[in-house]
Amino acid sequence: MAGRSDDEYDYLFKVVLIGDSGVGKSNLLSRFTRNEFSLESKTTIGVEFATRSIVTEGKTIKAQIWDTAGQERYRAITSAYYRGAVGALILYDIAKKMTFENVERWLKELRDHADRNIVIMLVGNKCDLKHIRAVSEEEGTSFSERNKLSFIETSALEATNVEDAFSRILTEIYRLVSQQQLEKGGTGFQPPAEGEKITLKNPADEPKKKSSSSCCST
Amino acid sequence: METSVESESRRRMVSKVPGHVRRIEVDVNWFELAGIADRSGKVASYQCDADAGIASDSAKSAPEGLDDAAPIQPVQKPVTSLVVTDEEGADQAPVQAQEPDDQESQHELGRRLEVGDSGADHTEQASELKSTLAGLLGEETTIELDKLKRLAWKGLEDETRPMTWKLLLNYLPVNASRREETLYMKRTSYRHAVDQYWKASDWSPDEEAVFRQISVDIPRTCPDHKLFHVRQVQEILQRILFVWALKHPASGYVQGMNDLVSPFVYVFLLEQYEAKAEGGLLSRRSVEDAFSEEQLFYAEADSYWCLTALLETIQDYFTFSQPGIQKRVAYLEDFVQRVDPALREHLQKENLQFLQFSFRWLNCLLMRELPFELMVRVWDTYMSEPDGFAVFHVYVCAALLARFSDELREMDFQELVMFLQNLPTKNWTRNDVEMLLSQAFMWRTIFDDKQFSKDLK
Repeated sequence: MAGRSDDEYDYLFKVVLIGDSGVGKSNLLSRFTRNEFSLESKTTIGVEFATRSIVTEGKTIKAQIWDTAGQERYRAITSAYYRGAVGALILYDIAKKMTFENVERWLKELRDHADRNIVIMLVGNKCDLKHIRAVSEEEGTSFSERNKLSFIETSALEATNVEDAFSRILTEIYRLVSQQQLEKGGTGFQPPAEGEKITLKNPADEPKKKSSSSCCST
Repeated sequence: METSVESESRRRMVSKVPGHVRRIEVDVNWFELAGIADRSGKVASYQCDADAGIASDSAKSAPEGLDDAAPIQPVQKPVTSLVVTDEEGADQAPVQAQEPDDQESQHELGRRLEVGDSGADHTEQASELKSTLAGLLGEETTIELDKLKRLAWKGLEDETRPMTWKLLLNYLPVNASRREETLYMKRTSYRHAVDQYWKASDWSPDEEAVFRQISVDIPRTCPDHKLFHVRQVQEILQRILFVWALKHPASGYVQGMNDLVSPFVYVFLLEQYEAKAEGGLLSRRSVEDAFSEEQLFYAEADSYWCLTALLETIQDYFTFSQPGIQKRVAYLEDFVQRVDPALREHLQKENLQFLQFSFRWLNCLLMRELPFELMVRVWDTYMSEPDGFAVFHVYVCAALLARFSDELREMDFQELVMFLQNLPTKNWTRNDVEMLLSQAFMWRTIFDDKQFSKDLK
């Protein structure tokens, strides 16, 4: 899924990574944007940022991904970063039950601070830790179905499903956005100007298309 | 004060030690030459010196002005640094000074070598400075704190740093006769706190949450520094942070405090190691061999109290919603508008918020932005400044930003964020940070009486 040169793109989508401290947000991001993983990465303070472009359905989509600090204390600061985000990945650690239990709170956080049409994907990370798994894949699936989220299990360490997770959420956002643009009518849609961020319009009664599947290759 | 001797005024000591690379560089009288040794606060003299080459813009080019310097003569310092092993306990092969691996850092190295002259005349001056400080610390009655601050501002060395930090942070009394007793009482008091909080048999769910959060962060603390991979050292960090958090519930543990405790643990372990090294144990490699349990405990207790003293000066950095940081980020932006309006306007045009990059600068006091050993040097000055961590630090942040102004003004939003969250300071030397500090000092002196600076106090 090679991108074009970094500054050429049809769409720019802002996506945020949230979830408890230590679930692997920064490594998921570095795996996706730089194909790097480090067991010794430092804790994220405030927010950090990386980008990568992918091609989906013939369009180049540049993802501007904001990695946030997981500790509760930082919420007051980090919630400002939800503004303008069209996608969110909520991560938990499949080997730590509590990080899964806290997904509910992260979801509420998004409902309170993010755009109401933000596309959300639930990500069970560290699926390489099969021997100490504390959250079954079924639990992840059923939670995401109940809450109409997409779902995937990943391993940033083994690079399992990382590409898939991001490309699925970006494609989903793209479809939503282009559908809105078609509905708006006119002679096709204009790609956004450089640096311009896409915001999801407010289709109050538009049925949202959410898929739910899991695919950790175990 | 002649600027022509500036190039001769630099004396550098580089030590290569096993386990990690340390560079100890001493600028003998850079600050005298920069006109800021006299801390009487006369703005006119700073402005005059600014014309001579240490104003914000020319600070960057100052090293190039020293091209004619004689070849560097590194002075090999006795190996006194901590030698640590990895978790398996295998011996570490001595690590040679890391060679820069790309062209940019080659250039940086070249630049450093060019500026790193040491004139033989100045060796004398250096030892004079050292003996003054050592002499001061050796005073048998009462140490004049102002004098100590003046000397420490210019940067300490491994031998003088532990005691100086303790004095500057008010952990040790200036009165020599009371020190031993104070140390005993403080360390005992910490031991009791550990018994009460750490060894308590039943933690509340909140306390367990604090423990979990700290435990998640400890392995991610200073991962570039081998010392912090050592199990015993990690346990020291963990206990200090846990006890501090429980004793200070208004803020509790906040991520980033782990970065702030690490310089203390490093400096005070080094002190304990030196104390024992006199007994001829330099060659021992594992932590158990290098330190007695008591020594580890002393380093831990001293670190705890010094961290406590530091955090006391910046309490509102870490209380709910971190108002102290938010206020300073706003001040930083205002201040950059004053001293570098073009940069501020550019950042604004690119929609970059100061909070997006400088939050971490405040929260971790730049520990993430500069090499560890250089930050230890920066803290020498912070502790010698009035309100060093609460006010002076903000000017250092402004100086850091201004230092990269030329590059930053060419960047778009994305480039800016990427650059600012990973500043190219890996190969910086003591000279680089001392220029930042002098810039910050000038600004602090000039603007200190202004209302908006007072607001920070």
